[in-house]
Formats: sequence, structure tokens, C-alpha cells
Amino acid sequence: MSGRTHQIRRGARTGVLLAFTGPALAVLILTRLAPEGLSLFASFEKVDPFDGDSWSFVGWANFRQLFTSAAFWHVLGVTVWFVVLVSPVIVVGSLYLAWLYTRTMPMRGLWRTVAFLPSAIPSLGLTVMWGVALKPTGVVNKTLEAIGLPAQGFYSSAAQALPTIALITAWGGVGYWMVFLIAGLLDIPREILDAARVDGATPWREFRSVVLPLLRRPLLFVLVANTVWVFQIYAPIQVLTNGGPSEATSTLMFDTVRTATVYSNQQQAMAQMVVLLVLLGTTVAVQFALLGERE
Amino acid sequence: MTAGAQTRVRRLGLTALGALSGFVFLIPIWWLVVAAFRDPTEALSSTSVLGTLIPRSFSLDGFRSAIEDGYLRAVGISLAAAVSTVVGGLVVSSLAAYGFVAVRTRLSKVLFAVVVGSFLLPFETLAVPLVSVFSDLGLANGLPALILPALGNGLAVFNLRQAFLSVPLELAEAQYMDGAGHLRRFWHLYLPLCRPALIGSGMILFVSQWDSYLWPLLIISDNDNATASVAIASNFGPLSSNTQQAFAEVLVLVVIPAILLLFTQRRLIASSATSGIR
Repeated sequence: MSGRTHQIRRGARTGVLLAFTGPALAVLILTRLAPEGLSLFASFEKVDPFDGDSWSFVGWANFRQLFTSAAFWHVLGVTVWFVVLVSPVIVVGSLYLAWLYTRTMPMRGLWRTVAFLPSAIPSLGLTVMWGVALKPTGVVNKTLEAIGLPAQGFYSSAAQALPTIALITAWGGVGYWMVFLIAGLLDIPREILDAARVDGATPWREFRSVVLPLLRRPLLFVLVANTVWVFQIYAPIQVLTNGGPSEATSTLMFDTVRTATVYSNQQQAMAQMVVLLVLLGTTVAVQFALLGERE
Repeated sequence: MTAGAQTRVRRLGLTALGALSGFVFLIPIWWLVVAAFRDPTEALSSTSVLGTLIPRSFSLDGFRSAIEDGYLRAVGISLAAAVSTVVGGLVVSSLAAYGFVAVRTRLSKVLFAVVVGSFLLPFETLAVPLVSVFSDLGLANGLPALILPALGNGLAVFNLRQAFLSVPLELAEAQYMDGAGHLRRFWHLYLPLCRPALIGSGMILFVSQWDSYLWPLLIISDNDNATASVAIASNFGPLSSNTQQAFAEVLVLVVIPAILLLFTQRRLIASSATSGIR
């Protein structure tokens, strides 16, 4: 008897759960699972170039083609290099800003807001303003020349294009991640810091031995969440360099969209996307584990 | 040096460092604002570098030509999309968050992991196949196409669940004793108690929609339905000499979320300090 009521209650609870999560699940299926399924499916098939309606299952052929192509390895290399360029600037920069703007100083609130302001600029806004500032005859090059330094190519030079896009990205993001680290810093109990000071710790020692270890998780979160974000950067690359010069800035995200829209090779694009998803999925899993740890 | 003097020197150093670091962010933004209002003829004649930071002329030409190009319509579409995303996204994510808090079974845990995990993935990475899905469903080219994918936001769901978990269970039980069903508890207890988390999540939803560029670029083929970002990009080449209009348009694009963020930044710090996003 009690077993049955228990079962009924459990059924009712599942009903409540599904009723409340229903809209979210519907969005999940329509906008995440459906395209994921479609791309997985399409990445294993080939369409007859002369008859768009006839397709055949080709197994791993699309992936084999990807991983045997030097161009794709170049794209993967650019993607990893891009993440490697942006991440340290973001982590060190946001940590520095969070530390600085939690010290006692005049106008601290104002500077915090100022550092956060670039995060309010949509990616296209960042692209336009830095695109104009860093063009060959732009204000940055004029400044360099005025103080006697040679003008730089920035995004129009093959060597500097990727670091330039990385800097634009970091400038626009560092204040956002700062907010998370300020929250983490304010979370450190005062007594611990006071104890360190009473023990005669220098500011550097206090930072390295007390603050940094206690800030480990927020820092890891910033690193991982920022990596997810960096993987999908698109606007500055498409608008400023279009993947060039000589493919120097064709990241996986950019190249996938280009393969689908410019080269109209849907199957190849889907296979590339699956690779991107695997990379991102791994990163998100780490991010989720970090969020979970916090409970 | 006395201890007092040392503290004073340190404070002075910190103040200078704080200002210098702030200038890294302030100067480019200041330059953008000045350039957006500069008279185009002055921009061409000005060769001095410092001159580009000092407003010497004032002109609304950039804004005027932006309006003539129909930029206001694009901003309107972006605003409509962002506001609908906030409203719809808050409904979707707060309902789901309540479900995860009210029902704590193994299924609920699994669903939570699936929902937050999938929604943490920026949907732009799925843009290419999503275009096919939406076109097949006849959803391409309209406001629903812009809004639907943005409704699912992992951080919003996570934030709200975290906030709901902090509502004392005794309160919910007391309401239950009074005969309040789930919907009433959700509406009259959980939502009012979690206003900061709702505001924070609303911000996240707004910004995610306002920032989007790739998705509207791919899914909206009709120029009349272009969002603000896409409209700017379609007129902008990095090497074109007339930047007035592009800057004026960017300024509008920046000012709208900046106003919102200025009012909620403090809340955001406070709410991320109490929730689990760290």
C-alpha cells in the first residue's frame, strides 16, 4: 500500500518536474539537440554535387578528408594559438584589475566601472572602433610615428593579425572577468588577511600564499569560461581580416562558417563543426564541474 | 621614513596605478565618443595625434546619415529582440530552475546537468546547422528566429536555481500547508525573494542577444529586418575613410547596454558573490 502511494507520489513529482522544465527542454531540443543531431548526421554523408537531393552515407570520409588536409591542421593550429594568446592576458589582466580595484584608493568605484565599460561594447562595436584605430593610417600608427616609432601593420600584416585580434578580444573581455574575481576577492574572510598581516607577511607574500590559493576556483572558472567564449569569436575576424592575410586568422569558428556559406560545402562544414563541438564540449564539461564544485 | 609617510607614498602609488590602468580602457572609449561627434571635414585636416582626443568641433552628421540609412529601424529590431529575449528567457529559465529546486530526484539532477551543460555552449557554434533547422521549419528571417535560440542560457538557469536554493524550505512548507500549489509558491514566494538573481539573469540574457552578430547575419536575409550590428557591418569597411557614421552607429549600440550595466553592475558583483558563478 505504502509502496503504491510512494510510486504515485514519484510519478507526480516527475510530472511537476517535466511541467516546469518543459519550456526549457523544448528550447533545448529545437535549438541545441536538433542542430547537433543534424550536423552529426550530415557529417557522415555526402551530397551529389549535381543533384542536391541525392545523398549517400560515406562513414568517416568527411573527417578523414579533414584530418589529412594541411589547411585544416593550419586552422586547428590558428585556433589553439588564438586561445593561447588571449587566455593569459585575460587571466593575468583580470586578476591584476580585480586586485588593484579592491585596494583602498580614491575614485575606486569609478575606475571599476571604467574597466568594466568595454564589456558593454558589443563585439561588432569593438571591431569597428579598433578596426579604425589600428588601420595603417589610423590613430595608433600616427601616435607611434609621432614618438619616433615605425608604423605597424596590425591586422593587415600576416604576422601581427592574430595577436591584434587577440588583443582586441582581451581588451573587450578583461573587465567582465574582473567582476567575477572581485566577487571572489571580497569573499576572502578579512580575518585570514589580518592574520597574515599580523604574522608580518609582505603584500607580495600575502598575495601569493594567501589570496592566490583561495582564489583558485574563481580563477579556474574565468580561464575555462573565457576559453569557451574565445572559441566562438567571429565578428572581428570576418570584418577586419576575413581569415587573412594568407589565412593567418582563419580560426575553426570562422572557417566553419566560411566552408558552409562561401564554399557551400555543408557536409565538410558539419564535420568541422563536430570537431569544434568536441573541443567546446570538453571545455564546457570542465566549466560545469567547476560550477558544481561551488555548491 | 616614518610608517605614516610610507603608507602615504603607497597610497599615492596605488592611486596613480589605478588611474593609469583605468586610462587603458577610458582613452579608447573617449576617442570613440569624440570621433563620433567630430565634424568630418576636421577629421581629414587633423594631423595631430592629441587633437583626436580633444573635441574641437561638434557635428551630428554621423547620426544624421545613420538615420537616413534606416539605422533606427535596425536598433528597434535589436531592442525588440533583446527585450523579448529577457522576458521569454526569464520565464523559461526561472520555471526550469523552480522545477530543479522543487523536485529533487535523480532525473531532476540529470536534467539539470543536461540543460545547464548544453546551454553553457554558445549557440553560435551551432549556427550553421541551426540555419537548416530553422529554414526547414519556416522560422528563418523573423523576430522568432532571433529570439528562440537565445532563450536557453546556462548561466541564467544556474543563477536562478542557486538563488531558489537559498529560499528557506520552511517558507515553502508553510505555504504548502496553507494549500498553495507549485505555481503559487513559484509566483508569490520564490520570484519576489529572488529579485537580484532575476535582474542578474535578465542582464545576461539582454547582453547575449544584444551582442550577437553571427546568428542574425546568417538567419536574417532580408535587409529590412537586419539587427543593429549587422546593419553597421554591412556599411563598414575597415579601410573606408568615412568613419563618422559607423562611429555614431557604434555609439548608439554601446550606450543602450551601458546604461543598463551601469545601473546593475553593483548588483551583478553582489549576486555573483552569493551565487555559484565563481
